[in-house]
Amino acid sequence: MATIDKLERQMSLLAALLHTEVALTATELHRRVEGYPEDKVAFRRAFERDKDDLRRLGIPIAIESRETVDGPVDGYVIRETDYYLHDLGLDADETVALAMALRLIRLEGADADDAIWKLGGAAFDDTAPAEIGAIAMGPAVTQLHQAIQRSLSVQFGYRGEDRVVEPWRLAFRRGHWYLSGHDVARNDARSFRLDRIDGSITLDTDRPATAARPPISAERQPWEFGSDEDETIRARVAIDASHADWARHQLGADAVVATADDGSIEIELDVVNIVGFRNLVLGMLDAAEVLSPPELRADIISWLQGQVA
Amino acid sequence: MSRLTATDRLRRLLAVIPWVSGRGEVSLDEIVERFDYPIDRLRRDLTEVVQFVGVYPHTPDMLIEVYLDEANERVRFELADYFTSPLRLSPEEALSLVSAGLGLLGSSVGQNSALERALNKVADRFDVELGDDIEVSLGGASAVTVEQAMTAAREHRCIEIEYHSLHRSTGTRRVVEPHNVFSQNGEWYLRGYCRLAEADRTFRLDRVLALEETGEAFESDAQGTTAVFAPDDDDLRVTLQLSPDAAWVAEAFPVESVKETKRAITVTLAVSSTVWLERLLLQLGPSARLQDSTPPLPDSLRSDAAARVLARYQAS
Repeated sequence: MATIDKLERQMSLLAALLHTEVALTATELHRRVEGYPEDKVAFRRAFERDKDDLRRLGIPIAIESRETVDGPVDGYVIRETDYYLHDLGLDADETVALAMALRLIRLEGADADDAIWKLGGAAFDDTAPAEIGAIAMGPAVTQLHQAIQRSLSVQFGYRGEDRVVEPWRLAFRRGHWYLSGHDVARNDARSFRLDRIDGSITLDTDRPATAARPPISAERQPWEFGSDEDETIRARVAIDASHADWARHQLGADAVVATADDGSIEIELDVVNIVGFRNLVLGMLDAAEVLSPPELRADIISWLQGQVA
Repeated sequence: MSRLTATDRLRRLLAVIPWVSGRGEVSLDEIVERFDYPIDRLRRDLTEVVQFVGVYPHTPDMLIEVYLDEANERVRFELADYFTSPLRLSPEEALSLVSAGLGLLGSSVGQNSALERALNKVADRFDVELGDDIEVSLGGASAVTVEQAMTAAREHRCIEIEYHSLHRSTGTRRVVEPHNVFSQNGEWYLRGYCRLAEADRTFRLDRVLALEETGEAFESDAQGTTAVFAPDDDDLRVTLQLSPDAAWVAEAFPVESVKETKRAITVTLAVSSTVWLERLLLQLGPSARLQDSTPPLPDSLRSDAAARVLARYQAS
């Protein structure tokens, strides 16, 4: 029955909206765009569907009021500055690198093909590697990032409570997105897993975020976390040869202060967080032993004694 | 790609037309490859659809002109003025590019690679502060190790690795025929045939202390495509009761079930060795209780492990 392909009609509608200086009313579009049914009601239905389809693709159709003999009527227009891609100035190899990243890392919940097509697409032969990882994207990531960019507080439900958070940073770690920020009610830094947020997130435009974002802490080890008031303790640990390479790899060669003939080593660390330190040492089971200071050694011993039946 | 919907075709055409317009004349094959556009569909869309798109009053000078060469293999457009530039990237798309890029770039920042330069340009345009307001980690292994392992897998070259297995508590050297590299739950893994174990094995790349190619190639029909790391059905399964301060366990490991009440969290997870479990129990201390396991473990597992470590302290 369709004499004109829906695709052709939608492209013509898009062309009309991009081509015009003045916002066009539905009546004008009915006359100007080919492929719509004659009947007014049927036209309106098809027109609304087309508008929705285009908007879903991210096409910014603006509504501007038009004066007509019948009074003000909605007019539709796409402003060039809203539609056209700003040239990112990518060189060919840079576009290919981005396309390769999108091929290797699957973005769940996002259609990333469009992004690469807009940049001119990229062709790979069959020997290119297949997917090696996945990152779950979604509206929460975009929304929270906007809040960070605009320094706005956000509100959302988390573990059954309403939170007001001044957002600092989004981090994808251990397979999940986390938001770190200042929890206003708790007056402290907190981390939230995005997929545990209940319901929707609200950006609070009346409430600018003021808490200073702390410097990035990705490089800090678990035993280094603490507040400025926490005391730093220098700890010395003996590690068997079986774990020496691993420890060197994890802690860096600088941490090694002694190496014995049998391959065992002694390391020194600055410890702020005792739990983090305990986890490090116990992770090596009986291949490691805290030598000093006495209080850290005593901590491990009493911790273990508590677990002996 | 199976049948394309009208929307699938529209998405492609809105990118194809500007791309072709910017280059003059282009082969259809190249469009097919770059935009994942089946050739027959593309030919029909060009001649039966795009050809007729235009603006009021639809006189020939207002329609897009599509020129196909005689062999029907190359195309150029005229009068496609309103489609000379593609639709801008949405914030979602920009963040997607940034996330995938950062994940792949990993620790190899500061080397001015094409990927890093591209990311900086996207970030600049969209006002994203890379690493500062967004960071992505797909694993703790160094980008160099990941890259080396991927290259070896792609080129079917054997590698010798020095591997620290937390299950065995010792380092080993082994020759591996690498099949594929993948990230799961925030760690990089290498899957391959291990000549030491004489079986397929999965290695965590951050525990690979050294990696080098042996110079030997291997034959492989292993399809390194599925990045799925599933525990075997016959792996040990344990149920732990955790107090709220140990809730991170449910997030840090691939648990198979989580039950949460006000006072405790119960998780079930597959465990590949008792050494791993001992370590976790000793670290968690009173925050975790081993509730159940299949097959059953001795009740004294934790106590024995604690006593073994304590013995070392008492000896010195």
